[in-house]
Amino acid sequence: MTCDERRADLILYLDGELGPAERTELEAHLATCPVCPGILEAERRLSGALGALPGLEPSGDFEARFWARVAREQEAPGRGFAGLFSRRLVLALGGVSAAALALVIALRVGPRPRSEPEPDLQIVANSEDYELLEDPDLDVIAVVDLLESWDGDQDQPG
Amino acid sequence: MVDDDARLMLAFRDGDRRAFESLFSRYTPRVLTFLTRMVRDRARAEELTQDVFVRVYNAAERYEASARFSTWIFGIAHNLALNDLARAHRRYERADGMLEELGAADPAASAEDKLDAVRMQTRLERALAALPERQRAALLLRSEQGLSYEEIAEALSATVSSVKSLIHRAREALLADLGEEASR
Repeated sequence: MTCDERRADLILYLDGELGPAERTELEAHLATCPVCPGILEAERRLSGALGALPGLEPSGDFEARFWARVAREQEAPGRGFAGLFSRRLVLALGGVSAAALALVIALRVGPRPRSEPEPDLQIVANSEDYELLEDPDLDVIAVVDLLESWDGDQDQPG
Repeated sequence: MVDDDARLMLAFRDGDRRAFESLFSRYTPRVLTFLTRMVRDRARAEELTQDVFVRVYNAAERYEASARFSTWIFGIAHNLALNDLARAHRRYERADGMLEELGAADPAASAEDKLDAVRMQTRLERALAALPERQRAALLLRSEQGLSYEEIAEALSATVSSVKSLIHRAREALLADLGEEASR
């Protein structure tokens, strides 16, 4: 192995990531090599410089802003840790409502008795159906989509 | 084996809000420092740090201590940083002032030492900022946050051998960039 190829091992050595046998072998090499101790020293200085970089503290109102944000999210319906249960409940109710709506539409646009006149080619058969579809409560499908996307946004721990 | 921080998270999951507060005060400076060096924008890094802790807070109910807490939280921070960097390549023009802030010298040092330290730190910050994102993340998690190679691999969703390679290439680039100054 050339000294250049050993460079990766020198970093692992400094980082304490070499196994005992590799460490012993590298130390034996360092004792006789004219080049590698210099490289090791440069790497050591770099580690020192990186370790000396100053850390940062958050701004004074950081914690207050965080808790305010958590409170805001929990107040919003269906959001946050505490809202998880109610979100699932709404999701379940939404699913039932969507299924019921699909059934109603299917029954209304399904085959009609031959005695009745054939309506024009349209999905919604009469004015009552228009009113039904314009009902703001039917936004439940959009709400269900939104809630599903919220659930998908959550991080999986571990 | 469950580490102390993971134990705090489990306590929070079981309703102990103080456990979360301990994690919050312990990890806020670490996550903020990591994110600031990743996105090179102090204000944005604070927002992202808030995002990290909101995610931790909201994930409590489903938390299982299957990894070290530090690995998990830095994994979240790394993902948010990469997403943010992918959305906005607008950091470079604002970076210089922040580099000086990051490179603030030890107030107890002499004026000359202080100046040398500021120069060195500023150069190092610049060299770090020029690294590819994954190299920078791997190196910072090792040298600044003290994660093991295995933990870094988990946080970055990488293998241990690719972490070794990322760190090796990052250090090579830094030494080349800093040249003589690093070896003095």
